[in-house]
Amino acid sequence: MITYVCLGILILFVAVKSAVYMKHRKHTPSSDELDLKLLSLINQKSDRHD
Amino acid sequence: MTKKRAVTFKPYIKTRYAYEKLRVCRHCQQFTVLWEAECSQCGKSTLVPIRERVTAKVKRTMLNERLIALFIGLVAIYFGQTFLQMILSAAAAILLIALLWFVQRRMLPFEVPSEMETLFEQEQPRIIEDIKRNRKLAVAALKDDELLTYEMLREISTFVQNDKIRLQQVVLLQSFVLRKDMDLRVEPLLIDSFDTDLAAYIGEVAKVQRELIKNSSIRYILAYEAHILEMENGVEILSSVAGAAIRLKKYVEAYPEFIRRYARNIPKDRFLRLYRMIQQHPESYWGNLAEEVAVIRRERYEWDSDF
Repeated sequence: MITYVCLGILILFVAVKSAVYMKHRKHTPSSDELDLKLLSLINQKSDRHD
Repeated sequence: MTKKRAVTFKPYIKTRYAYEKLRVCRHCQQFTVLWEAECSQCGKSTLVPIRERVTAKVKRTMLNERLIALFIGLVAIYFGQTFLQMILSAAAAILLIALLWFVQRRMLPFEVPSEMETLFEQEQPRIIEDIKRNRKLAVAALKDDELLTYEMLREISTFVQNDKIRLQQVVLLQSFVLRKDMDLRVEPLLIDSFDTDLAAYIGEVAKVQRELIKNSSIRYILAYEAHILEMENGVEILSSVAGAAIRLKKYVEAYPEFIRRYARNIPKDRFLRLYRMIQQHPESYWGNLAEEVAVIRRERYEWDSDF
């Protein structure tokens, strides 16, 4: 019984993790977007504190 | 006037993306945009590029997930009531863990950028604070080593993009003798308002590396032409920029009146280039420039065989 429960949990675990990875894949930022993000984060705040 | 120094710049490594220059210490998590070999906070040689750090973190997380799956699989096998059950549990666990591993491998290139984005958002205050620390280091070096300060500010300006840091670089550049073989920049240093040091710098660059004078720098000079004319060597600055603009036909076509105003002050080789350009393209619109060039040629170069 415990065996089947554990196997069920394992299947759920792998399924959920795979679903999360697939979801992340759809919203992955490109290198250009990452660069713009970093520069906008640095410059929006640093201008105020400069 | 302060005497200018002859210097050699440390090569500026241009990366495709600014974040490629951001490094983090694996030990104390301090960020840096400078090139130091050791972390300025903890003194250890544990600085790594941000992507490498994030990739390691993502791989560690994925390994933990596989270990959790392995643990659940082992529990399932341990509690098997028959040998057949244990074998089937082992086979199922191996298959599921292999599937998880396969999915993780395929998703790693997508997880790393996502994680980087999260890190930038979460660590924004820290990144800004550490860049400010880099900047303080640069300013502290000013008294003893202006060249080092300029090189540090040049790196920092990849990330911090405001007029203050641009002007700091321009002021430092004005204390160096500019040469043709130097790695100079103009466009990244342009600011929104007029500055005499910047105008003088552009005038000097126009003499030694005219290929750096492009549309935005010509427009800057044009926008503040009246202010530049009030400077001691204002006409010289404007003439050298006009001479540099003759490098490309598109600039002559775009700014014929500007070039016309200073055509009398440009060196012979630049005037010759302008003259030939107009001769070879009579169909282009030159405004009053063509007439002015003809007048100057008659006055100065009528008997010159080059014309």
